[in-house]
Amino acid sequence: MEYLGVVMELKDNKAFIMTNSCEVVCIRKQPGMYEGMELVFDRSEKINIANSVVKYSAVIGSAAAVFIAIVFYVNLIFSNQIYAYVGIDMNTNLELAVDKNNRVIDIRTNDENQKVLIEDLNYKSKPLESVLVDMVENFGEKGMIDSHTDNKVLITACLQDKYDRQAEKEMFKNLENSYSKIKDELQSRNIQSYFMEVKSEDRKFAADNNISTGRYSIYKKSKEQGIDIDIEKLKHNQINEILEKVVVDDELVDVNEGTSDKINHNTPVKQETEKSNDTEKGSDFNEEDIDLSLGGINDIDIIQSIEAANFETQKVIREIQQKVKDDIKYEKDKANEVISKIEMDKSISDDKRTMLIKQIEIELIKKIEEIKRIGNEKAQAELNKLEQKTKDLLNRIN
Amino acid sequence: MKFLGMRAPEKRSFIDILNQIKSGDKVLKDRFISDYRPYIIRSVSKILNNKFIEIENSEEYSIGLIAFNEAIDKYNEDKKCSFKRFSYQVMQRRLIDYKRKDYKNSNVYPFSYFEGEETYDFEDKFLVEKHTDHVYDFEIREEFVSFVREMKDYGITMDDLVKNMPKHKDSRKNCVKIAKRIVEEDNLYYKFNKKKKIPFKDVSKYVEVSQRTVERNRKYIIALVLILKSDLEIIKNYIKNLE
Repeated sequence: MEYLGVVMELKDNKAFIMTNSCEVVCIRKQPGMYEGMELVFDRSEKINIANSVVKYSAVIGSAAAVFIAIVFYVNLIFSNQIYAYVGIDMNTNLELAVDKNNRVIDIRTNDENQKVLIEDLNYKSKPLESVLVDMVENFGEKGMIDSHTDNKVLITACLQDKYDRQAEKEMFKNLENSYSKIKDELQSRNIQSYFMEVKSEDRKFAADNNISTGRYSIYKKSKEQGIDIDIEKLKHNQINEILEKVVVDDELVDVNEGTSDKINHNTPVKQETEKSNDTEKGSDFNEEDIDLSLGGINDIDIIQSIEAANFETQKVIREIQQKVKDDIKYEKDKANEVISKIEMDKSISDDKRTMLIKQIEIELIKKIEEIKRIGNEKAQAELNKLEQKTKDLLNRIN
Repeated sequence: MKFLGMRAPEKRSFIDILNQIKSGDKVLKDRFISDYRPYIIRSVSKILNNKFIEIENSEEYSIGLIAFNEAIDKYNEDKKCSFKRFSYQVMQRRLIDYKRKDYKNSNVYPFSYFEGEETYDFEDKFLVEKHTDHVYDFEIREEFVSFVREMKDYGITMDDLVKNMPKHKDSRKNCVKIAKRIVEEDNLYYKFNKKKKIPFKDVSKYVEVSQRTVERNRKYIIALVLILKSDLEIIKNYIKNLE
């Protein structure tokens, strides 16, 4: 519906118009408008000037709703934030993500096979200690743990870096409390527990090297204690064996406050501590006891270079073989050409022709043998070189 | 009939303004173009890759203005295209044409070269038409401004007026009747002007009306009285036609 009207006032972005039915309405200002202008406009152009409270109530309401939602959400995020990773090393390598209140958020493992173990475990938002106990019982049922023999478990805690010192202390205390509970629980199930706190950079390094945090910490600790353990073997050995060799505290110690002076010489580890004293004196029982030490991580480099040399030699030999083949083909072609020429030549008698062909054939066979011999010699030389190199490198390892 | 997404590209009032320009209202055209000047500058600058446009001696700006002028004449609302987009396109094409030409004979002398000392104002020469209606326009505007000012004396703004508008035509007619009475009877108008409010008791002697009606439409009636007392002929005509 169209109206005719006169512009009475232009204000901000609005134009007030008196229509020909004596109604005053407000529409959007258009370019070129001026007071006193008579113009036609559509009913849909009218702007409703509502009461400002009513007008803005929707805005205020929605703003409040958004604010509340944000507060709610932020709370949710913070309560769900991972503040520590607890690693469990037994026959399995599991990692539990724990929130501020020591409740488990998530369980992770690198091993696909181990995912089956935690499938039927109800762990979401449950206290760490109860999840651990459930887990151990679950393992017992599934035959992962033999409850009649001594079992050992290494538990590592890795606090997230992003918290300040004060908050960290508080969290650490929390963890300590639950650890003492865990220790008692596990002890009653014939499981000896060992605890370690790990710096987050170590955890990262361990993850990069595809080894569990616990095992990497042992490797680090063993170095501190002067024990030589091969990291590759560490990956695959039973944790029981490893824990027998390396001294680990059975109490939680805050790494940031210095480990050495806080080692707890309490009950079950006492013998271990004594053992460790022996170790520190320089006894080599490790190497005699179990063959854990193959040397440092450098060995891997050497082995790798041997592999590379081996590969290189294979390549060279393949090239030699190819060359031999090509040469033989060339000689054969040449001989065939000569023979066909002789056959075509009618001036030579039949006897002579046969004789010539035979002669060429004999020559060809000789040539081929010669080529093969040279090829073999070359290949042999390469192999010898490789053998020598390997021997040298292996000597370096020993 | 209008469906969702099938809105007309421009408002009816806008098209009416364009139609008035097309039918030869030069003053309105000037006003329209001057309202659009920032848009023209921005568009020209955008078309020339955000080049800074110096309005005084930019040839491109002049070409933009001519193109915009052309767009006003050529715009067709039936084509379902917004005026802004259309005018932008026209400006863009004219500027591209200009650039091509300019490239061909790059030794172009600026207008100022021929004009000597005089500054060459394109707009002054081509766009501003000397219009005899100027004075009349100005008077009308002044009239409206003084009307709005007078309303303020009665504590009424245009916003209030829009909010308190009687919805029904009959009630508006009723209000017109009351307003007319106040204007016609000198003593009523005297009281009205003095006290700056409607003298209800006296009014009820002349017109049969409930106090509630007057009270509710107080602002509208005041506005009507002020209009009838002013020289706003167009609106006065409207009021006359309503009866």
